[in-house]
Amino acid sequence: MTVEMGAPEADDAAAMKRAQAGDDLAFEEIIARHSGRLYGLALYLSGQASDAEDILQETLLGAYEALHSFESRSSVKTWLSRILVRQAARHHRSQKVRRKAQPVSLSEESQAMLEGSTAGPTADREAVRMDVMDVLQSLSAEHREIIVLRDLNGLSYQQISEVLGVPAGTVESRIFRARQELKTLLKDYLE
Amino acid sequence: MGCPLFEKTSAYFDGEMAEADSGAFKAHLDGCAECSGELARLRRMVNFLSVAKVPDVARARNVFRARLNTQRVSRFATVLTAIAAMVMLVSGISLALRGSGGGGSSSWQQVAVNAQAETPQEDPMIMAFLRDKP
Repeated sequence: MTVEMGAPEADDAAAMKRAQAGDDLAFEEIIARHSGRLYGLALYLSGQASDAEDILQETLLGAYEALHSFESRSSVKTWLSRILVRQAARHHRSQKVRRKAQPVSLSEESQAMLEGSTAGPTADREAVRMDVMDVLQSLSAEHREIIVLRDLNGLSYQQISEVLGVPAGTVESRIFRARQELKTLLKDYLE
Repeated sequence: MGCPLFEKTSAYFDGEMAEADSGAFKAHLDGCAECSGELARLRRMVNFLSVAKVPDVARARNVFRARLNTQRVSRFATVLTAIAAMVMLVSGISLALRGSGGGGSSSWQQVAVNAQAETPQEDPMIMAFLRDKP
């Protein structure tokens, strides 16, 4: 299940035109509409709440400064996602600390989900969420990025292509490889 | 990975295959245990990931706008304030949604958990903001 959030693209486009004409309320409207989704994206890419806040702030500032470069060739959602992914990559490089892939130990609830059992009403979904965070941080940066965009943020291949600046065919093959890495991490629980 | 179509399973799962190809691949699945098994694994993996879907703090929008109406000073200062306020609000809501049960922990795990709460209207912090709405 993926989730699409935010108002229709037409609302974004109209607000963007007003923002480009100098209407700051319109820019505020845009960032208010997208900040929650962008924060989630930053959190899953960085794995740290404090990093996510920095990335989100840099993204919003960058978007404001680049308002006039927006040419409606992509949606506002895609445009903001692209800025954020770049900021996250820059932030990751600046850390100069490569996180090592570590074996993932999953909760019983996660194991049940991966074995195909239906999570009951009393299932500890918080434990599963923490497991997902652990698994994401064990992926390579490139694969984490594309899994977050596709499976947690619900972007289409075309939107991911625009966000990452790579051909759609590359998106397809990268998602395949990312899922293979994910499958390797989870192999103890998938068979 | 013996099946030459194995790599296509991912795009099929995502509904990103052309309609004609998708129909052919669906027929292929009936006779290919490797691809049908992969499809089942993909479903389980993505179902697992979806528990951590991106948090929805859409309700923050109205709250955020109300706060800005009282903070307007100058053009760029307003935008900077708006950005800072939004970042604080989004991360603050994430922390506050589940109350203070985290024992003061500010780990990403706790924030990630808190960010997922689906009943922000019950949060006292948000209710306080909503009461301030003009």
